Amino acid sequence: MNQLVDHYLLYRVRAKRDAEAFGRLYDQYVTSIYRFVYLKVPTREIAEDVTSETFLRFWQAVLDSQDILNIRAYLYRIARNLVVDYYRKQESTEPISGSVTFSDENTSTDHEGELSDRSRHVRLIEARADLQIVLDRIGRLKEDYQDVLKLRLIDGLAFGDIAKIIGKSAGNVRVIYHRALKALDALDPTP
Amino acid sequence: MNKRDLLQKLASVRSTERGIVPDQAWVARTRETLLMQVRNSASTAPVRSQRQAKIAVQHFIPEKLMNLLRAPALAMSAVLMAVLGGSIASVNASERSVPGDFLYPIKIASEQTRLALVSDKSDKLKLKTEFVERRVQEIKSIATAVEKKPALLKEAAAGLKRDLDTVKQQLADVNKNELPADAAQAAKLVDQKTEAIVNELKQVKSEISSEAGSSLSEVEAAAVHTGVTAIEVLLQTKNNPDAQSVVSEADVLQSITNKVASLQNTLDITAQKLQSLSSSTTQSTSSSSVPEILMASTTLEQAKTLVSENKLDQVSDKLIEAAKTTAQAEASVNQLAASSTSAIVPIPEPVSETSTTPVVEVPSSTTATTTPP
Repeated sequence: MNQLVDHYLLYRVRAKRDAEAFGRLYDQYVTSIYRFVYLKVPTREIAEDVTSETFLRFWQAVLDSQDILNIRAYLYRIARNLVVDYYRKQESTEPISGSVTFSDENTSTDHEGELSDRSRHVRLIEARADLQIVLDRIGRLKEDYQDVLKLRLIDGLAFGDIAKIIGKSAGNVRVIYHRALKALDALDPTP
Repeated sequence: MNKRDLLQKLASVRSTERGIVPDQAWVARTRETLLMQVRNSASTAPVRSQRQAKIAVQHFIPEKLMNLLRAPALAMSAVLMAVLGGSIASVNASERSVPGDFLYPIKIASEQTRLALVSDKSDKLKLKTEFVERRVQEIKSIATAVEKKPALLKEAAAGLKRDLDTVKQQLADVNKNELPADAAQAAKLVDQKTEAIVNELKQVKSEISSEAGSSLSEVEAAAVHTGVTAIEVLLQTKNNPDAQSVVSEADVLQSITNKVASLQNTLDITAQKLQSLSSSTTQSTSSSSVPEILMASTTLEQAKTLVSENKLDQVSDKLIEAAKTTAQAEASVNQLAASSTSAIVPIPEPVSETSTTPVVEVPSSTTATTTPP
């Protein structure tokens, strides 16, 4: 149903030049994209910049009449690429896969809304650490396993959406996913 | 760390993730900025409806379904093109067909379809009249084609007679159910068309053998009968104020006079044929051998008398009777001609007006001196 609404809104944007329809798409996805980015970049400001840039890139894709089969998957893909771009530009000592920062002062601000209290802040740091561990483990698998696991476990996409992104059938993706999990299990437990 | 630990960590990450809420002021500000950029960069030119339809298809019809439907849709359109294209070509080709041709049933079927698609009674009658004219053209085509068999001419004549009968019925229907003005208009059309048909049939008969022409005599009588039915309708409607703009008494009188003259002409030709037959054979042929000639002549004289006395309401019966007996007279003369040519060889000489072989007593408008019984 959500996908149908998405397609209707996208149709309005493309066929009717309806800016408000684009606004509704933004309303629908801004929080989830922000959360997705927030765990992968060091600061709230960077997360906001990357999120804004994600929607601008999406608008550019609409203008260019690119095939957008699944808006959610498309937005996640843009966001993921922007996060990677961010770390490339930084040329920091941290590798791309280690896209999680542990900096206390960068992630904790008085304006963090629900994360303003100390315990929530600790949970955030732990989550980033966990995510870093997961990403490290996944990064040791072969590339197609990595893609499917990241899209499924990190981005939380459905098999059908992943299938559209990587150009395979949903059944195929499901098979790859289960094989990837087995491969993950068989990895050497030492980091 | 095994798979289970890893999934647990992910679940924990997700749980934390759910607690992250962006600053609402930032969300609103970004929205505003974004929409401003969208409005500025979007083309102001309206998207054409064709393009809109294409976009709608792209968005609302799944690609898999499109791929699935594409092949059957193409196949179906190819089949439809072949069938419909073939049908249209066949119907077009059949327009020139005549009875006995392979495509003739298609022509008749297409006519029936066109008739079935018309609901208005007057329009239906007009269409049928048009088809009657086609039947006459078919008869002309068959008569001029040497290779055509007399049986085909008979078949074509039967088709024309059938259509004339239908026209007669439809005219009665229009007269009963439609407005007087419409009925008068329809009757006028039928009257004119039947008169033209009678003239054309006479021309065809003059160009073919007596034997072949015998099948046309009957249909000629049917055409006269249909024309008389039209006159009856005209007589009924001429006094109606609504129909007076369409038909006048003078029109009706003219139509009746034309019918009488036409029948008289047919009768004269028949009598001349009989005369010619008697002069070219040793057989003793006289008008007494074809009593229908006298009967028809008598009836026609009665019709003329009624016309002169302006008793137009009574003339239609006489005209129908005259048409019927004239056709019978023609048939009898044609039969005599056929039997005489099979018995003897001589080639009949052309009939001249100065012929001095007064064997036959010929009643005609100019030469007959018969008295009504």
